[in-house]
Amino acid sequence: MIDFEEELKKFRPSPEVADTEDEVHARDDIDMVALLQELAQGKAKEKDEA
Amino acid sequence: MKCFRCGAVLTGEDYCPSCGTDVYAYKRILRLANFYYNQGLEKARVRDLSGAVVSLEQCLRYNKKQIPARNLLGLVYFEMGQTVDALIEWVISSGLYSKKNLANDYIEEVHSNPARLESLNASLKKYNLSLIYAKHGDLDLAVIQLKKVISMNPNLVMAYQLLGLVYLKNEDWIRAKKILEKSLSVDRNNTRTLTYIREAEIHIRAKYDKDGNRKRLKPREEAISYQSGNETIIQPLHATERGNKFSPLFLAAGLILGIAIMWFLILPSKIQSARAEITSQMKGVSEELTSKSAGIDDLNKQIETLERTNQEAKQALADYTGQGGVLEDYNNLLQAAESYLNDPDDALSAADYLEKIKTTSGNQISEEFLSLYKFLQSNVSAKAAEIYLKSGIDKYNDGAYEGAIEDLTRAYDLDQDSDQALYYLAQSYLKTDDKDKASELFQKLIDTFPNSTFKSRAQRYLDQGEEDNSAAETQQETPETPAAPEQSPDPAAAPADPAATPAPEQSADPAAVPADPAAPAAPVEQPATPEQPVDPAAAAAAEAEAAAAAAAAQAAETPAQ
Repeated sequence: MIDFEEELKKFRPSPEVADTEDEVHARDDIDMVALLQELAQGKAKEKDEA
Repeated sequence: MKCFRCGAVLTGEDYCPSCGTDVYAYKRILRLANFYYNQGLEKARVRDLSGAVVSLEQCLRYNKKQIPARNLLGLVYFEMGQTVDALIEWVISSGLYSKKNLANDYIEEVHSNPARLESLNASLKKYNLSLIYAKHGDLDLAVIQLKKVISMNPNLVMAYQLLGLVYLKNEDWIRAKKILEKSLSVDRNNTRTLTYIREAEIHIRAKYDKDGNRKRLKPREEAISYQSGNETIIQPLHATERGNKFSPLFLAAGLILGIAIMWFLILPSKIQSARAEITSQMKGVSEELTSKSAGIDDLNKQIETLERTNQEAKQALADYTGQGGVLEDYNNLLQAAESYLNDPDDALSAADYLEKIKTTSGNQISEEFLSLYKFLQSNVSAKAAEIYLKSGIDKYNDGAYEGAIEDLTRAYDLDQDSDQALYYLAQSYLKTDDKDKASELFQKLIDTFPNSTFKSRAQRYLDQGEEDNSAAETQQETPETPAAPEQSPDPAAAPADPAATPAPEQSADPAAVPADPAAPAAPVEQPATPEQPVDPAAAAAAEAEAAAAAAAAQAAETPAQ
């Protein structure tokens, strides 16, 4: 049995054309590659400090 | 593949040949990203758009710079009606890699049709509004808005889903299923859509079970379903082609039966209803015609009445203003009055005008008119009568009988008490050989004036045809002029005039003289009317008349002496 209220929560408002720019910046997430790069940079720093 | 630290081209080793960085994890991340991209591409190809979205988003979580995956994600969003989501992905893609990027073409394509973009954007706004309605419990408003959204943006899957959900909430299972199934043509394997459809089907089945329609659902229950790629195949278990050699026969029989039902049941009722409608229309038209005819009759009657009134008005106007009308009578009366005032002795002019007056009674005549008319009549007519009488007698004596008839007729008309005028008028007719007229007038004289001095002579003519050839005399003449025997120019005429010297031997009626003692009174009976003293001129005229009457009376008395 579907719970209407719960199902309704799954629906998100659609972005509108005016919101395009904000949405572009908001979706500029960090991906796994970037994460890996940060990790690699952190390790390199630690090595240099040692 | 390049090293994420130094950018050197990587080899098959897990270390960068240039900087020696461990690239094992990096290579695995990129492989996973590629895997998800390929998966997304496969799903998109079979129109499993929601599945493709999931795969492509997963790909981008591993490598956000996977340009083909981002472009494809935008394309899938666009196909699902989420235009702005698509634009966002393409803009990001273009920002990451601007050269020779398909995203630029997509963006340009979308912006090339601003009206279409505006329409799609409006549909998204309405979708957001309907979502708000649904969250606030205004489900009817949400349904209305979502229907508009679907008409504007038929690919917006989430609108179908939300509408289906609202229908489910309203327990409108069939509509929910129907609308949700429509969205499957866009996104064939959307989990949410399928979940809702299943929910709807459960309720529909339960309803049929409750209503005892199990038979109708049996084939569905006995069907087997299986997944073929992204498609769900449902196949009835006992689906067999019913082949029968009598099928055409049954078909023909059914056709004939249908025609018969149509002919005997449906057609007569249709004809009857059509006839009833025509009859009703004809009745309406007939009633309208009748009412209009009645209206026309009324109008015709009104026209007749108005025409009659118009004629009466015209006639009344003519009576007043036309020839012989009252207005003319008034004019004649005024002219008679003017003539009398200018010269009271000129009675003939005034009498002429009075004679022309035709209407002397009735509503059209005022009291003032009548009073003035009577006054003038009394003052003028007697005098004019005398003048005409004298003139007539003169003409009679001169042998101008036609003129005498004319004047004497006028004299008698003006003074109906003048037996002398009547007698000489009859004599004049006799002289013109109009014996009938003469006899008529003699008889009238005898009847009207039984005491007249002319009665015996009139009677003699009527009885014996004896004509009076004596010269005539006026009774109103002054004492010098009467035809006394010694004053008469014609000695033979004197004895012939009964008013002057009636000879006893000439009279056939011995009693004629004694019988007419009052004869001379006739002229005497023409005194002035009571109105005469009011007008000095009239009074003068009356005095003259009185004098004339006295003279006539004296002249009449002379033979008796």
